[in-house]
Amino acid sequence: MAAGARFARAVRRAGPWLWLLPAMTVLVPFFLLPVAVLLRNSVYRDDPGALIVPDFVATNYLRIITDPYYADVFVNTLMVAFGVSFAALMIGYPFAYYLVRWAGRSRPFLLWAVYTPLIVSVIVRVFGWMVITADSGLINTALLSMGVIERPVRLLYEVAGMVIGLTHRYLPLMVLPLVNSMAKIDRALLAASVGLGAGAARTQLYVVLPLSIPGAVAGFQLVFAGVLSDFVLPNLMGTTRFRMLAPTIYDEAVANLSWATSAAMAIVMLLLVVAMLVCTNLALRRFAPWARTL
Amino acid sequence: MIEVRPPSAKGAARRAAGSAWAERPVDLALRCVSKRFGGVTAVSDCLLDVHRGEILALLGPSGCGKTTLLNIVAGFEDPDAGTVELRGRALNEVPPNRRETGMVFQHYALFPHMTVRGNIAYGLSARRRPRHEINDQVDDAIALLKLDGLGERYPSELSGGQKQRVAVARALAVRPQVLLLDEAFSALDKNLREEMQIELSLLLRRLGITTILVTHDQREAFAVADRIAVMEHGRIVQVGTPSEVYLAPRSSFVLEFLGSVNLLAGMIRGRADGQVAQTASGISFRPQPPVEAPDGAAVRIYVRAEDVALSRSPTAVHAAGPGTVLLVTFLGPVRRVVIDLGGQQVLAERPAGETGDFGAGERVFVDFRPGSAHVLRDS
Repeated sequence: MAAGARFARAVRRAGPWLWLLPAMTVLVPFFLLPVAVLLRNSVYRDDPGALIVPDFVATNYLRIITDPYYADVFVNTLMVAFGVSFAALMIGYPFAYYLVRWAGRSRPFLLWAVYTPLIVSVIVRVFGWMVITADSGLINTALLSMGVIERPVRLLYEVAGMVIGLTHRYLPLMVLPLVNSMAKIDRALLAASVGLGAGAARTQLYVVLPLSIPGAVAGFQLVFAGVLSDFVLPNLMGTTRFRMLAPTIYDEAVANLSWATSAAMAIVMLLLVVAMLVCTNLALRRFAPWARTL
Repeated sequence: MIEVRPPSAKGAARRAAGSAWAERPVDLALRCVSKRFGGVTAVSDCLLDVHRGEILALLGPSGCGKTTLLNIVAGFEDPDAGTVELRGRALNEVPPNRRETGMVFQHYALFPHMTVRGNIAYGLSARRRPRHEINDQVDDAIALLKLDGLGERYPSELSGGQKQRVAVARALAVRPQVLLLDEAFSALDKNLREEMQIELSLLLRRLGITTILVTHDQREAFAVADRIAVMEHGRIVQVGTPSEVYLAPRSSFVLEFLGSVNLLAGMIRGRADGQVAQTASGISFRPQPPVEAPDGAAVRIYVRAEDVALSRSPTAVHAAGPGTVLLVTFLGPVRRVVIDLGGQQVLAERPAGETGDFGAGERVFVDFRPGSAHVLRDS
């Protein structure tokens, strides 16, 4: 009886934590543990004979930062991540604004168009983009027949093609937070702005734009992190002359069997994402202190 | 400038006459303003003069078109017909950002991403005033609305009353020709609401700013406004000072909307000493003024709850007979007594001391105060 009561009390106290159990059973062994192993490997030494040797050295990190080959990979990837995030913002912002402000009956259709890329497998979509961007693809055929160009412009297996693919892949992650933050803007605020003497442009610039910044930041974070670690698009649509991070890590680990080097690169990639999140959140707190309490 | 007014404008002017406001210049004039949304008529043929420095309440139940009318004045809605004139200038073609109106929204619509100062300065910045002038005027508005020390706060860090002050300060900072308040007190708690009603009435009178207040709350309209325009189904059915509207309601709608009334069915009986309206149970009232109705015409007899007197003994002149107390409710200064008077429920509101000792089930004698009945012909 007493034991039963004590057990019941223990369950009651542990109750709230039990809700975390399903997630923890997956996250701890399959995510936290591998990251810990990566962290450990990144300070080990690669060895031609023994694959990887226990040690505690910084040489892996030093090499990937100082060696131009690896440094280029990081620079390339960061450039593409910034570029794609920016492109997604430029495309996504007006789209989201139209969706929220003007789209009436076409709204479900437009939302569906946003969601589709999330539903369809990325491989299927890449093949679609290949058909469009290939030398004999839709874009080139059209431009050739219109006489705009004389020879096909190389898009596929070039940076351009990869960026097109990446932008399409991550656009929904930009649009959805933007739509969310714009939809939250009270119509009365727009009326208030106009009623106080502001024209449409001023209202847009001083009311709508600042209030959609939290959505833009959230979208930027999602797209940036996604592009930084994307493996499929650089592999299928990019070029080996412009190396990206995720495929390089894969090659190091699987082709070169440099587990320590690839581990260090993976950790740096993780740190880059964390640094980006911290920086953008600090910037948001500094320049939009109202956003947290909204 | 030659002013061409439709003939019905004279009617509006006549209606305004009789109150002292008619002598002041008309700041805002609504001429036959109408607005339909699809098949629904929101505002129909509204005539209204708002005089300089006057606080006018548009009073009516929800859906009566009062907010639509306010939005037409502000320029957020275009009327289908009629004109809006502000100080003699027709506003119909003027976009809302070029009208010199200031609006306080129901939930204030403060810009959440701007501080109190930023919110108040917004209208001035939009008018491209020089920075030092903006700063001075924002300081003035902050002092006027007692917002000292709150200038750098964000709206989310303010209480409801402070938010309302900021909204008013923001609307006043641009020195509008007319101030529009859209249910501006409804988001406040009762005590704070009454406090702000007094404070704002004093402030607006001190500034002498022409104001239109939209409300569904009769007490609020009475507390703040100089004149009240009662609206029903998109029409302005009566305009007058609070006491005019309350004491001389022109329709059963106005009567029923203002205060608690008892409705008794009756009939007109011509008598040698004048007209009498009589209920089926034989209670007689003298219509003041007489109703234009023939003998035997059905009429509605209204008696306000505060005009029903109760006593233990049948001493009153106008005694309506004995009844049974069904319920006594305490309402602070008054007690509300529900009485069964021969099958008809009668509501009486008496000062708390007077009825303190009435209890449910008790027999009371009901007395309608002489001259208190409003008799209107049944339509």
